[in-house]
Amino acid sequence: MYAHERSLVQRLENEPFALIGVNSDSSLEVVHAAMEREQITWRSFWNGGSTDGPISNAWNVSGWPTIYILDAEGVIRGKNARGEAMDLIVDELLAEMKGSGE
Amino acid sequence: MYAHERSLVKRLENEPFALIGVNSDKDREELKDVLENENISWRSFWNGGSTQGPISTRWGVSGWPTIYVLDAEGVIRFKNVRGEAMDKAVDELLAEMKAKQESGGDEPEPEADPAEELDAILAEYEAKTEALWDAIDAAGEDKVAQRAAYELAPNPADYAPRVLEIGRAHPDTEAGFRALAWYMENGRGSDTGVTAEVLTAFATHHLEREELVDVVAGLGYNPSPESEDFARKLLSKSPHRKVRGRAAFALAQIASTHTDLADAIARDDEEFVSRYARYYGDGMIERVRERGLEAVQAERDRMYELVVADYADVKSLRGTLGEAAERNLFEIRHLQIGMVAPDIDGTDLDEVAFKLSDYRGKVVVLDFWGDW
Repeated sequence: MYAHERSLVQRLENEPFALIGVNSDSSLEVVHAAMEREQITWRSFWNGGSTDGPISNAWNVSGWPTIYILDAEGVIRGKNARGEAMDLIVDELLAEMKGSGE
Repeated sequence: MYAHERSLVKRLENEPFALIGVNSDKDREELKDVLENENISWRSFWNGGSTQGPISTRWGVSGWPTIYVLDAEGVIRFKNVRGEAMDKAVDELLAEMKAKQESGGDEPEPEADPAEELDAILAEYEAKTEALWDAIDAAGEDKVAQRAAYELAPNPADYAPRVLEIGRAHPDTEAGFRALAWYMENGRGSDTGVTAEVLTAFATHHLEREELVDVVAGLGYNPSPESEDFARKLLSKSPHRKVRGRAAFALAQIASTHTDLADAIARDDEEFVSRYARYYGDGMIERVRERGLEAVQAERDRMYELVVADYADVKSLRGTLGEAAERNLFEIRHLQIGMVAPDIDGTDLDEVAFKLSDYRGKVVVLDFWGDW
């Protein structure tokens, strides 16, 4: 996952795009170590140190990773798309934004 | 007739066999000539010189010859068998006698106690599981030792056939129930036929058992008609509230899977539909097709709502059934494609507060992750 996400974030760094995480690691030390090791630059919510945390529970997440893709209006447009499928939806939504802006 | 009977009598002269006639000739002297000419060696009753004689009348005989074959206890076993069929009948009865004598001579084989048999199998399985945990503990952080430890894990599939056999032979007993319940929880393969058979045994003999609570939890992951029908029976008939609660939850999960399937049917997603057909049979596809997307969706919501209303406090694997049902209803109502995502108001990993809605105006990939 990390490699694909890194390249997605890098490819779209000048686009109206954000990758936001919700991290469920057991401690902030663990996640900071992972971020340094994996060169993770994107921002994450802190789920409270557990997969049983408040955000993942509210979103009924029971498998990791779980992915939601939102458009610029905050509408859910994709669920659990990975790899190329994720790229495809994101690119489509960016194109849609540009299309409606013109 | 004479030739066949002669050879039968001769073949079996050293066996516990007798051919007995009931003769209805008119004249004893003439009969004696026939006996002599035809080499008839077997004994006959004399019917009084007439086909209307007392013996044939009593036996209701109106056609000649009439044949009865009796076993060693005098029980009529065959009627009017001739030629080869007669030989076969007689041989069968002689074989039966021998088998009885052989088994009757010895002490009757003590029948294995199914409960003891089952306990022995499960004890072996548990001993191996314990050895596995001990090895994992001993391995500590040593990756090679950890891998070696996992090799010790007993495979339930090695035990399932013997356990299932006990359950099948004694489905209405305590041991049979334990065997079938173990099979459902641990050893169940993908054979939906066996699953259907086990659920039928539960429904027939054990519907009121409290221990079914462990079986019910698994039904939610099996959307087949057998599983659904059994969960429905438990919901309406089980005297145990926690069994009914879990049955309602399982029915919601099943209807949720049916919703995905109905959606795939509506979208003509052949691949998705045929994968489900392979796993759960065409019966399930037909059932969902008949009900339609709206009906299965409504059933899903109704069952989750029933859990929230009546069984919210029943314990589930983590937390309560009520919490799990509420979460599922929230996902159904707020987390579907096309819905505005609920906001998240939290802190980041540097403990700085922020919201998901801060990113409006951008395309967002929201990734629930952990470094594992």
